[in-house]
Amino acid sequence: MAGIELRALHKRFGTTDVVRGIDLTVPSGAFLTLLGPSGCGKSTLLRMLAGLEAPSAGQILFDGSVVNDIPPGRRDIAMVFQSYALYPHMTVAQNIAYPLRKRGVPRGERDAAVARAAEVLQLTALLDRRPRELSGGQQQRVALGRALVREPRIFLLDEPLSNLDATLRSHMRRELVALHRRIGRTMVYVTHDQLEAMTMSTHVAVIDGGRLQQFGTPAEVYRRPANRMVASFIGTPGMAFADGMVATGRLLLAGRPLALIGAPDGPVTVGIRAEDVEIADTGVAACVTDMEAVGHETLLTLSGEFGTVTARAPADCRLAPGATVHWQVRPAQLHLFNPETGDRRNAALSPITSSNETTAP
Amino acid sequence: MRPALHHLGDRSLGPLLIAPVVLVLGTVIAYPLFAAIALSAFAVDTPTLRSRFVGLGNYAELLGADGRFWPALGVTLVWTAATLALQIVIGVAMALLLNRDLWLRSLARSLVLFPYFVSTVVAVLVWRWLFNDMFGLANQLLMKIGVIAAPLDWLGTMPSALLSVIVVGAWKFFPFVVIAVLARLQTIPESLYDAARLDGAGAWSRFRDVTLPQIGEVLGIVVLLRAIWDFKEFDLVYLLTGGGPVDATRTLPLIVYQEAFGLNRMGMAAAYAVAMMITMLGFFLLYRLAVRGRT
Amino acid sequence: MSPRLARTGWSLLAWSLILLVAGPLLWMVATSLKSEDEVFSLEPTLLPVEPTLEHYAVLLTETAFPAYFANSVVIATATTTVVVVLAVLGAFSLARFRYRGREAIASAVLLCYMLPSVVLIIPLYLLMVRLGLANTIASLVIAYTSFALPYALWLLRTFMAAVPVEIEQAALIDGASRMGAFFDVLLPQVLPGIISTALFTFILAWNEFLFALVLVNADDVRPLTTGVMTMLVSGFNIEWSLLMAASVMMSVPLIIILAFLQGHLVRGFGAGAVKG
Repeated sequence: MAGIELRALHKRFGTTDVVRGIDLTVPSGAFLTLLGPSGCGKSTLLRMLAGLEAPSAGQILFDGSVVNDIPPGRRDIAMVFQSYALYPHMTVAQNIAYPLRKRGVPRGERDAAVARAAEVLQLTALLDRRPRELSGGQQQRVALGRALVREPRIFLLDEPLSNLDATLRSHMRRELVALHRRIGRTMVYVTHDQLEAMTMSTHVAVIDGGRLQQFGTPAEVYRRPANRMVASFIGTPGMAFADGMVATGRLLLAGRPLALIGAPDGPVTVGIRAEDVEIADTGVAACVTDMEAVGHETLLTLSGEFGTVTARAPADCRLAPGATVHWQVRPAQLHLFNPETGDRRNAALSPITSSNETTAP
Repeated sequence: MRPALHHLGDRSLGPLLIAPVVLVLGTVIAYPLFAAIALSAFAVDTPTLRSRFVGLGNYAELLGADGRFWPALGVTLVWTAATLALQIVIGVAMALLLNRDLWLRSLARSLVLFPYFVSTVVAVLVWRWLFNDMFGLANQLLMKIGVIAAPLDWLGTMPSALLSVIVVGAWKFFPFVVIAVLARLQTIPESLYDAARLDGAGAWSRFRDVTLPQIGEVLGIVVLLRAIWDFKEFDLVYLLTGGGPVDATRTLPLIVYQEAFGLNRMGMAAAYAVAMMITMLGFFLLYRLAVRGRT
Repeated sequence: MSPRLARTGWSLLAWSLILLVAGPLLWMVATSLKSEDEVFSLEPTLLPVEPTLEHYAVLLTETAFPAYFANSVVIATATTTVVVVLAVLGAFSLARFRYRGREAIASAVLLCYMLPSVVLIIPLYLLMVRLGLANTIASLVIAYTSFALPYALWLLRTFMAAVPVEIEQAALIDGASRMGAFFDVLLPQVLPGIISTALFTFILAWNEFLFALVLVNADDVRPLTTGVMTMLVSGFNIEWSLLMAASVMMSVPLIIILAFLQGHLVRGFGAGAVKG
């Protein structure tokens, strides 16, 4: 088990900076997800943790000691690749045994360990097969087995579920969480799928443009996104944004007051999550421009003078596109961002209670 | 060996692994190449290896009125163009044929490769036997069906000598075209042909609009490679005619050999070799320009 | 036209062309089995009337052919070994490492592959004379490396580039060294490519003529190509049936390779010649 610490980590390929100074400390036993859009530098970060890429600047520490110059094989880590990277000419048993063989573990012990790992992952019947004779899910389990067998201090997983179909993916998600709980090792998991990040991790690091955008628990990242990028990347459907204005203690959208606010005057970006939008008899008038039935609910796209927001409605919603509705949102659930930098702005928000200002939602 | 290498980072291991190759290629290619260029500025007598600096004198002589460069270049170009054209036409046709569903297709594909892999010495011996004036099959068959009245000295007279060299060259090297084109043909998805059929394309337009564009790129590379190899071909021409009659089939590589080891003028031979190389480079650049101009 | 009839038609056409192409080689075999009288007949028959192996017997007992054959085996095997070892390590370097000059080396290798042998032959001859290697088997092995190594490198680099780099990285993480990962994981993956390369190199060396003509002038080191040509010119009258028997014998390794390992040969072609 090991905690991980990154200090001003930097990686440059030729003239492009892929990772631009990341500082991060993760406690031992954490399930850390590196989350971000493709090309954000998260895989490069993982490969630096593995020792497959050397940092251009900065330090990587495992349990307080710098590992920059330690080759991958001596970092006591295991990695599951997106492509699984199974050795095609070896059987499942040989694949799983390989890390032990390289460490000079005697044959008897090796066989026992392979048998144990195979048992855990339900691979016992497949031990004599070769990778190409296995299904995607089975290959995935072999890759996990190869990582598990050595009981390393850190597990690195590079989008391991991206090649599986939807059912298998959600099954494996639960398996991985259970596995993490059982062995309690530090895991670093790279994905662009925010659902995986939300459901599996104890810690999420949102990365974009080679920089750490936010680091925290899934709940923190969801509830208090540090900036517009994090806010828009996390949550389905995505957060809606509108240009607002603060004037004399009021938050105005399209010139109309929305809430009381304790902030100086000036422009502000307002973010609204779909689940915070309530269809009501009064409030902001908007037109239903699109409806998307996703089974258990219906997503409504509402366009009005405040811009466009998404709202959740019950599956049996009777509305039709073109209908006019009213919606409300509780001021405390609004997210505010600096329109120039995109950074989160914290300000006390409260409903406008005065009875003559009826437009307040 | 492994623990020692383990401590070396990628930085030194990569160059270390290529070092033997660089060393060997430096000795057997780079050094001889530069030595050849240097040698071309000397007059060297092969048996004694006594040499005298002549500057560009060798080049002046070989390009001059008494030099044999221009006539030999002409012969080389005729040989290259004619044999290459035959190789491509026969090769593509054969590849198209072998791509069909045939009886014993894989045996057929094997047999077609034979001329290419068999030693040039074997190929030439067989053809010289076929071209034998009295007992060769070529004369006997042609006389029997009445095409010729008297036996022909195939390799000893013109134009049959040049023609024979071209035909044997085409026979020996066309399988290269077959393999390259056939490999590409097998990757053309059947759905392309189905789509063309639905669009009402006949056999010819399917070939022109589907097959030809698909094998175009491969053909470009094959033409380039074969042109280079045919241009510099020594064994086949040397063994078949030795350059004769007189100099009628003496291509540039044969001149180089003859100057060096027949006429004992090593410096002159090197000059011919360098001139030949520069010519090839010129044609290569022209080819690149033509290809780039088209795309 | 029914598909079946079409298949018959195309098959007949293809096979008659193949027989035409293979004709000279079949004629070679037929001639080698004919008696002297039959060979020099003005009414030739396609198949030998009385097949005889006498020419093969003469070839193997009364000529230098067995010695030439042995020389060729030694030269081709040694060349193949040297070239494959150098090319496997070199291709690994070119395919998997980043360092300054790598691309320059790769381009130079491709250029070497296009270079005419006649340009190199004169300085190489002078070099061998100076090193005292003229008329030795070693001189031919060294010279053959000059044209076989660039091709082998190019071929193996293509094969190695096709193997996903992740499996080597997985091995590194699993505790292998760089060379350990190479031997454990990459090498088994490119084994078919190595076989192709070895076959190509062997055939190139087996068939080579020009260097053998220039560098070797003694019967005890002469390989088959120049050796058989010596038999052609040294005889008072040319014994065609004997030469045809020699040609057949000389082609035996190729027949074996084409019969059993054709797939490897064709794969090598595709990788090196066409993608390169």
